[in-house]
Amino acid sequence: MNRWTLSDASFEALLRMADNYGADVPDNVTRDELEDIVEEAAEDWHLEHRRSNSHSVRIEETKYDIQAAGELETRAEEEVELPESYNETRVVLMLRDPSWAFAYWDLRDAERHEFQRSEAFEGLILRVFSMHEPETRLDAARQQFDIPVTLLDSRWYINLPDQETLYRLGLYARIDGVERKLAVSNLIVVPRGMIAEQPANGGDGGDAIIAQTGIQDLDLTATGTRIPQRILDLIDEELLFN
Amino acid sequence: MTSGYLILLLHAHLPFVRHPEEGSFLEETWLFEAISETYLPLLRVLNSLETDGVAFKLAISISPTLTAMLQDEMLQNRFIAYCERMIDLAGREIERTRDNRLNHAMAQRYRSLHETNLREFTEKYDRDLTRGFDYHYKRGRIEILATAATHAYLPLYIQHPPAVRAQIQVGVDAHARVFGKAAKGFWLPECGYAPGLEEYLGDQGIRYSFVSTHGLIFSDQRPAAGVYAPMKCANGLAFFGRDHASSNAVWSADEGYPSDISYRDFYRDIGHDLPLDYIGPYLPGGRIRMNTGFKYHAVTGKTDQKLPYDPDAADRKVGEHAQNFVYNQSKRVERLRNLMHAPPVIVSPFDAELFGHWWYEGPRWLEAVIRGVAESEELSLITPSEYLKAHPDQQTGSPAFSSWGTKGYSEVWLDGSNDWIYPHVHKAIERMSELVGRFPNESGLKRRALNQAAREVLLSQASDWPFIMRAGTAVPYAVRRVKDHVANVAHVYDALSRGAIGTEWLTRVERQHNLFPDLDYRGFSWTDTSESRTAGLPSIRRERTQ
Repeated sequence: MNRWTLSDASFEALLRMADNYGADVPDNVTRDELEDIVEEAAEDWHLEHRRSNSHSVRIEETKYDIQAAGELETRAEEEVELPESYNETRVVLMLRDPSWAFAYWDLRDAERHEFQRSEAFEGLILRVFSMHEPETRLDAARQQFDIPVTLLDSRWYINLPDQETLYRLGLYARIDGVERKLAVSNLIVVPRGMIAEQPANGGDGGDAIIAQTGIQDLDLTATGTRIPQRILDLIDEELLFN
Repeated sequence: MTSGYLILLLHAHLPFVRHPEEGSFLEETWLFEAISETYLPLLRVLNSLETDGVAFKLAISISPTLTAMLQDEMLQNRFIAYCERMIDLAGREIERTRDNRLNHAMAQRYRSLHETNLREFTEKYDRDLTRGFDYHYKRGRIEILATAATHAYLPLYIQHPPAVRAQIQVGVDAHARVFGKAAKGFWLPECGYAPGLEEYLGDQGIRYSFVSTHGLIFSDQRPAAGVYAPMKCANGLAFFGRDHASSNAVWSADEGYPSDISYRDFYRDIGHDLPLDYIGPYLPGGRIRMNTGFKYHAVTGKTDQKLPYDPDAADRKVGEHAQNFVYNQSKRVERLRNLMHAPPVIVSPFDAELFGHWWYEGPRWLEAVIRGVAESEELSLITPSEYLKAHPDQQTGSPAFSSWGTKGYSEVWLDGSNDWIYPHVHKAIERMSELVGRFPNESGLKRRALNQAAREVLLSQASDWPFIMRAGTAVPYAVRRVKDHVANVAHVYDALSRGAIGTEWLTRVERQHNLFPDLDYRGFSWTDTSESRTAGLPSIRRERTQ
């Protein structure tokens, strides 16, 4: 983004850009001040993303890189607004990696209004259940933990304590000390996130071959409390580093 | 005697961007740049190798959205206009740089590039570049893989079997329509694998696919051959594993060949550097700064003071780097051959657009590598099908959930910048399935509407949109695309619920999003109730049927 681009944008477009980049805009901001804010926020945002994205992702993004010109193409009157709610009580769980899942949920309008009007309404709870078998009932789950959320929330990232296990979510409302189950999510299967154990009959030099793959250099999401190097727990370190 | 094999795989993809409602549209430039800088240069590489009698084998995947755009008459005409503008700009650049030897030489190269591109595009390929790839496909030199219809990142849709099935089925059908034969291989977008995808692929006759390095290494069975032989799933489908070391030779920020200081820098472009009164006529609206492809600086190093680009110095580096790559892979297969029962296969997949668009010298490097391997005694190029035919016995196992994105899983396509899309896109999928159930056998206007809704669902799932939101390059456009497609599905859903669909609206959307002409909306049905019980748990479904 450069100053030529910003100077061509309308004041409203600049405000939208500032919002997109998460920048705070004071009341009564002048045009020049707003351009400075947007430019700085854009630079910070791009810097942070360059740091968090791998080099290969940064290369791939150049396929679409036409330098923020798209910012100017959006006119407010052309923007489609999607509904904030689909008037359906549900909770959905998506696996992101062996350590994190993403949840989103929705409430029927009638239920949301009931909770908003009720003085006895204490809040919503995301209850995370872990289990080994898909048919396990929630009350027989191996472990569970709660995440309190509010009516203003609709999405959440959940840190998964264990791998090689199944997770399911329940969405509950707490009203006057009593829990009401609102919805139950799909199951997700969290993978091991590391190499399988050596088979009992041994291998044919498999460790030496695996050491050639460069797996130890991959920058993968760490799982649970394990440090990344321990994904190779079961490989002779001498093979890896010699 | 060959010690081992190398599979070079190029994955060519762009999202479907076509705006007939505008005389020109900024984001269509993605296609024009890729044609100019990657696809035509790659075809010249293949043709040059053929002319010189150099044996070569490559695997290439070309996405259905890309083939749809390459075969679209409106976009073909716009590309011709793009070439003419670039030739005009090149003429002005030749004049402007006449006192600068290096820049002047580059300006002349750019004019030659665009003139050659225009001539080959119109005369050699009759405006349809798929013919160029098909020519080598039919001669067995390249194997073209199918991929998902709109390049959806499938692990994030694994809970929606109709969507996964539609992406794969439509992708396979599109491949057959364009190239006249069934694909044997399938490229999973972003190497995104989730357990159970092999069932959908097998249902479409696919025999092999690819996963990332850790996708194979973390399989349920410890891979005896690492990533140097594929593994076969229970349904017989083989998965090749990406080789990190050879891929890293190109992708690595610090050590990869493209980062060499002699090569052309991607970011310094006259579209940003020169005054508007000069460059404005070649920019959208005369004022929106963007890349033109006219670049005169070398990578130089981690500095803003970039040196002038010297094409001769870069060419020498290309030769060195190609030789280095062939030497390294030859040594590796020799080492691996001593450890393995069968000849190892090194799988090196790349985004095709890396070569030429990002890495200007990339196509020349690729050609030099292929020529180098042709002269190697230890290393041979091979296609995936040829490898499987020669070595049919593989270890059995199931890959692990994985991708080649940052951190190895789904983080790129599911983070704070883009997670908002999934409630909407999932709802669009569910509505589509509901429509299939309510209207199982329609004809006429209703069928057109249902088919268009199916196209809109597929288009909303393109992995490009969440990727762009994460990368921050053209975010408003990506946001608008997701919203438009979801809203179009809602429009059809609501209209059919009311019993009335507007012809004018439908015709407009059909003309704009005109890909997959043979699409059948009924591909979004749930095949049986077991899918709903076990959605997202395909491994468990397999256990139940055993």
